[in-house]
Amino acid sequence: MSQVTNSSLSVNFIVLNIEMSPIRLFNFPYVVQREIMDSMDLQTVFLLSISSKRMNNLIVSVEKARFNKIKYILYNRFAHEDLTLRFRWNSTTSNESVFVNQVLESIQRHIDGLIGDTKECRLYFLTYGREFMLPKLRNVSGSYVFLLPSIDGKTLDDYCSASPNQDLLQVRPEITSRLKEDSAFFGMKCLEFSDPNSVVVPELLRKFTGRQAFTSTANLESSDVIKFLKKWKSNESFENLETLHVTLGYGSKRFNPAEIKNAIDIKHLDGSVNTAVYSCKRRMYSRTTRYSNN
Amino acid sequence: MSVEPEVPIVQVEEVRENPVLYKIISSDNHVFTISEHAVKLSKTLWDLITNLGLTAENALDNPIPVENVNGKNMETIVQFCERHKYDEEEPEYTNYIREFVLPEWDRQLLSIDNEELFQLILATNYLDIQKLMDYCCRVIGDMAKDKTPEELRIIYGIPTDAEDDALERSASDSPGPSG
Repeated sequence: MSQVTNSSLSVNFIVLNIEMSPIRLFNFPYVVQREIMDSMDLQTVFLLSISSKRMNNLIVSVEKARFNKIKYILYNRFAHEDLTLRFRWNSTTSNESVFVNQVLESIQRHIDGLIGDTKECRLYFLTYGREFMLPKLRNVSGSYVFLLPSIDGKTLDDYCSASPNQDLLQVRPEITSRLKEDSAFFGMKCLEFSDPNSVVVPELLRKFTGRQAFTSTANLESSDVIKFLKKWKSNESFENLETLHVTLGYGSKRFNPAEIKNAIDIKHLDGSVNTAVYSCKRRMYSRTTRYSNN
Repeated sequence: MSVEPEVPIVQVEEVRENPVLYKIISSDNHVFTISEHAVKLSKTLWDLITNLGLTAENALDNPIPVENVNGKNMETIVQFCERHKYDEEEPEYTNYIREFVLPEWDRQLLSIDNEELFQLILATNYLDIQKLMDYCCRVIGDMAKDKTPEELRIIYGIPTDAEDDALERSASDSPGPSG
């Protein structure tokens, strides 16, 4: 959760404050309470809101206008933007970390009561170890999932179904098993993932309904590429597609470009013919591209 | 031997100082003198002065009683206002974030115990001194930095849910004025 503090320091602080009389927030006039809350950052206001129900209700009342200005909620390790409510899980033991998904889900439930359930969320999830679960968060508009060493298809399916139609989903670990037939993964607006086992890319070429996809894989059959191109050309599918970038790994089986050209009837135009040009803004340029909020 | 021309020495402070002074009487009958620039930081006092029609000529003969503020707090407030009377007006803050650094002088001034700080804030609120209010609230807000909810409950005297429930029950069980 946000800002886990050193336990020995915390104990000292409590002793110090027992000796000093508390400054009772509830005893201040309403306008002063608002001034005090406004002087705190959002993370602190959030922590204050879980100190008691009554305090939570006060904050909902006092900080309503401020909460309306929150752009999005970021479940993240690093963030520098002001109007962002951000949470950083920085636990010290692996036992705590196993429950990170439950903690983040609880935080989201609490936020629902605090600032409403319509705020956009973003997730930056970076962790190591097989026992970690992805939190099932709603209203996620962008995710960066770095769950090492790998992620299985079901975990990814479950995560995507909780927040479909994301603007951007980046999945760094390799995906070890196939996704379900109607996976929400294929409906993300922009995807970036690696698929060394070639369990997702063939499906992507049949089901992708988003705008841009950037991926790398080991093998790709010519027949899959031909089917994809035919459907795209005929407007049968992929009507939203702007960019599809598939990088084949070293040593992968190479398909024959001539076979594909012949199959979909690619014509070469000479320079004298004016052709229509469509341009679109690419979300990614390489696999090393950083998380983009544009 | 050359004779240096006599150039009058004029201190900047003297030029800027406004000679108009006002007298304020605290609730415990302590009398304070405050300059016009300083008193303007308090919206309440300045409105009062304006409405009473106090001028440079009659200001000192008409002390202003402030019954809601005791001498101790008034002393702090007068010190603060005199210190900040020439500060440039700060722009309205936006986005609900107050980015300012609490000056060391003010941090020292506000290094008082919590009960005193509480009373000072009430006085500041009554006298409507925005800058002092900002600074006091920053001091209180800073107490929350890097604290857990449990620590925040202690710092800010927040009852637990169980304590609130018990209080509510006892309030509803107790007979009313007619009972």
